[in-house]
Amino acid sequence: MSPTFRYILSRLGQAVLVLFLAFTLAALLLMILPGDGVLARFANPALGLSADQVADIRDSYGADAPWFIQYWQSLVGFLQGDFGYSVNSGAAVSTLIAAALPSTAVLALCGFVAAIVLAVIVTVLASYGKPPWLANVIDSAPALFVSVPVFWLGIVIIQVLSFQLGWVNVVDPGAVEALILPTLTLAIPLSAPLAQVLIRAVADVRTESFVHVSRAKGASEGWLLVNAVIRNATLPALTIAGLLFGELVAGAVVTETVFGRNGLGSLTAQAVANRDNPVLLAIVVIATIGFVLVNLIVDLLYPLIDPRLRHRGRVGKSARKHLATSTAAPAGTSGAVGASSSAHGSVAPRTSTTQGPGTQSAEESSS
Amino acid sequence: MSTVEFAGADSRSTAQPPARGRKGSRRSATRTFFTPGTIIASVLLGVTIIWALFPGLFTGHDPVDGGDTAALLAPSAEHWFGTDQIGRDVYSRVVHGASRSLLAALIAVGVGLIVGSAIGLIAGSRGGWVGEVLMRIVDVLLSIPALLLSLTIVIVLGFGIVNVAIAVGITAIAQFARLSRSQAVTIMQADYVQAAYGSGGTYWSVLLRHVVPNAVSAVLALAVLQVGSAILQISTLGFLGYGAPAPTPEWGLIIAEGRNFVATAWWLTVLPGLIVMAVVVSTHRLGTALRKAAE
Repeated sequence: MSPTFRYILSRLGQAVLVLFLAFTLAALLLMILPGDGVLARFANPALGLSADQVADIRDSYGADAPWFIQYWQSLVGFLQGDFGYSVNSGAAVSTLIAAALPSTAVLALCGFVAAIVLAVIVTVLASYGKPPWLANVIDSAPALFVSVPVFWLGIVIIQVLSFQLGWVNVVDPGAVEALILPTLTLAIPLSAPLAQVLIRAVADVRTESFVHVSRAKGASEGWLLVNAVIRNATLPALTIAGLLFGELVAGAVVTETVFGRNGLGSLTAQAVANRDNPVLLAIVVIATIGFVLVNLIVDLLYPLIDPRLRHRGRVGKSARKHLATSTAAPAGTSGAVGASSSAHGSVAPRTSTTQGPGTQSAEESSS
Repeated sequence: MSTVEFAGADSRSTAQPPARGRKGSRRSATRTFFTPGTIIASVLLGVTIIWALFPGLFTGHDPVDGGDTAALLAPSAEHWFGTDQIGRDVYSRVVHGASRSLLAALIAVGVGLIVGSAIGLIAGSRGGWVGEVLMRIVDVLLSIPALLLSLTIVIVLGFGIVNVAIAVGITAIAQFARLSRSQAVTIMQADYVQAAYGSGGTYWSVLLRHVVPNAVSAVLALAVLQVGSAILQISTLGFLGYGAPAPTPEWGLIIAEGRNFVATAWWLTVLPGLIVMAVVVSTHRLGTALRKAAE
């Protein structure tokens, strides 16, 4: 078995294990701990159900079975795409989610693309902007963006762009118009970590000697930006993909609530408000699958993007080690990164730090 | 919400000091720490803490009962942040809300700090299958997006500001665990730990006398960073309506109540939001500076 294949297999195995454990944790919290959620809900005298009817309902939810049977049944159900039934509306959870998913997917995609555009604009202005004081101001924008409460940002955006300036109609907007403000709300906090990583990468690369040499040989700033900066910024930017996914999930919940959009986010908020545990369980599991997948893909991409990582014995470990140095600086942005695979690689020995990653990659790409 | 994770650090980012920090290390630690930015941040945070401790010193208005004050007054000398839809002074609500929001943030960070550091220190100093199992648990906590994890816990514990704080704290466990684990691993390799073992130290005596004291500064720096994130997350959950019940002055709730009046009374949302932001930026700034100093 080739080392690459073994690496892929072991990462896949870890991802499946973490997913299984996360499902177990969420199921324990949402299904088994609450005891008899069905009874609590339907035995309410105001509903006027007879004892027989309540027993029927309990039977239909399988609430009488011991906890390990319930756990097993829901595990099998989830594997088959059957998420059970909403306690609140009685609808199949899979139907609710299928109805809500497209709107949220469109919003998330628009928000993500807008965030990348915004991050690149901020990076270019902060790194190359003139006059210098303006560049400095923009340089501190990401730190501000992460500190903004997203729900407040949404309200202020509605207030300024819609009520003050009248640019966008929020009262009865068309389908595209309705997307503009939520996209902006989602994109601003999302762009912050990305911009921080990119600004850092640009700053690192610009001090490298190979850049001075290239410039001396007549390369333009634009050429340098494309050839040196982008190549060296890809890896650090990838490391925060998991973080961005988490932001996207949280942003969708808040943004959809603020703008009154239907989608997975507002479904989540309603599920919590109504104590609709089956719906929340399904959303948690689906989001976790997405999160673990993103991290898995990123981990598998490292060796493809950075050839150095291919030739070392333990690909995962060296990738982590490399990233340990490369993400050290941008204010600890790597919080949620590599969620599923940290146990082994997360501790890089102090001795490996004398040389920053910027220097390493720069030397290699110049040679 | 995971904005917050942004503020955090994990083992990878803290195991090594950033290359840049090295250059400045010749200047004394206090001089690099007290920059204009950190001084402003300290003052802002200090004011907020005094708000929380002695709200009566800063405002004479009742935060819950507006009395016969006119509703929706614009900001003025009498009402700095204006009044809301039932005539309550918004500035007074923000000042009185500080205690609740800061206390909740402290509870959240406390939960994350204590549970997370315990997991991390044991995992890092013991290694073996104990460490492996503990860090797997941390992986699982990290694999669920933070907001959804806190919502899951809120739905189990029930609504209320303390439950919200605990839920937010549980999402912070993983970061404290990773940081303290990496600290513990580094410290356990140090010569003085070998010496301590050699002179008859037991595992627990080494853990308490050497590992904990040496890991504490980095962990505390992370804790300060986490306060801002916790304030953000708690106010988000408060905004969604899972925190304190209605008349309570809580920052997220104040903004949520004002959102129906964005078209006519901007001050109800904009000004409290700016305060939240200023506090979060300040803790961020201080936390980052402390972390550099700790390294």
